[in-house]
Amino acid sequence: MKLIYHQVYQIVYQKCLPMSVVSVKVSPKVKKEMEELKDRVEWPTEIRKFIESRVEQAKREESVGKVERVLKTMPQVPKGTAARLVRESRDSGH
Amino acid sequence: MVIDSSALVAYCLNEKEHDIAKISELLKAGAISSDIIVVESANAILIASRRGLVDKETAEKALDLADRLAKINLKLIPHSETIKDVFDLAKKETKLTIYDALFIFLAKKTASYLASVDERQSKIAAKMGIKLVEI
Repeated sequence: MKLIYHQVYQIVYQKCLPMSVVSVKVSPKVKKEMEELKDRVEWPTEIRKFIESRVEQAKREESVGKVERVLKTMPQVPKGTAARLVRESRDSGH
Repeated sequence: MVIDSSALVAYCLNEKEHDIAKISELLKAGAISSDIIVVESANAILIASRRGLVDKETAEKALDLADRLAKINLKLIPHSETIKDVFDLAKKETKLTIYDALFIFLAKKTASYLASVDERQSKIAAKMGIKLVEI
């Protein structure tokens, strides 16, 4: 099942979606170790997944940073306001 | 973490006495929610504006924040994907609306914590064994 998933993932990414090349330098020792482990580790897939995950993480952090800056400019509402407004709407029609 | 509309609205309306820093950290990590959170949050902010609880500018800012967070920080699950299970869950609890049950079901299904500021929903979720985020 995992093999099929990897194959589908590779087909989708390599054949269907346009790809760009990202180069990363590593030490000769690490490169040699990567070579030795290439049968056990699908390096392009794992590195691609890590980069995508890190991009999403950074976007979320940036988003919250922007939200926090806006929140500082806003007045506060009393505790319970949100719960009451959402509850009223949910219970209407009951 | 699964976030309920009540928690998102409390965050975006800058509600007092909540641990804003904690909610921020949780949102940075990413959260799951039902896609109805967008509509429910917009509706709550609209009512807040109509009742004069916040001015027009604040309401627009709050809506922008909710929209940004929904697009970037939340993984939204279409309610159509879970509605039959949610309906069954709501049938078992007379005080549970479909809206409440959507979020409780997601927390249960994904074995996640639930972030809600709604007392009734939180109590029922806790009774079902769902862990709550203290915010």
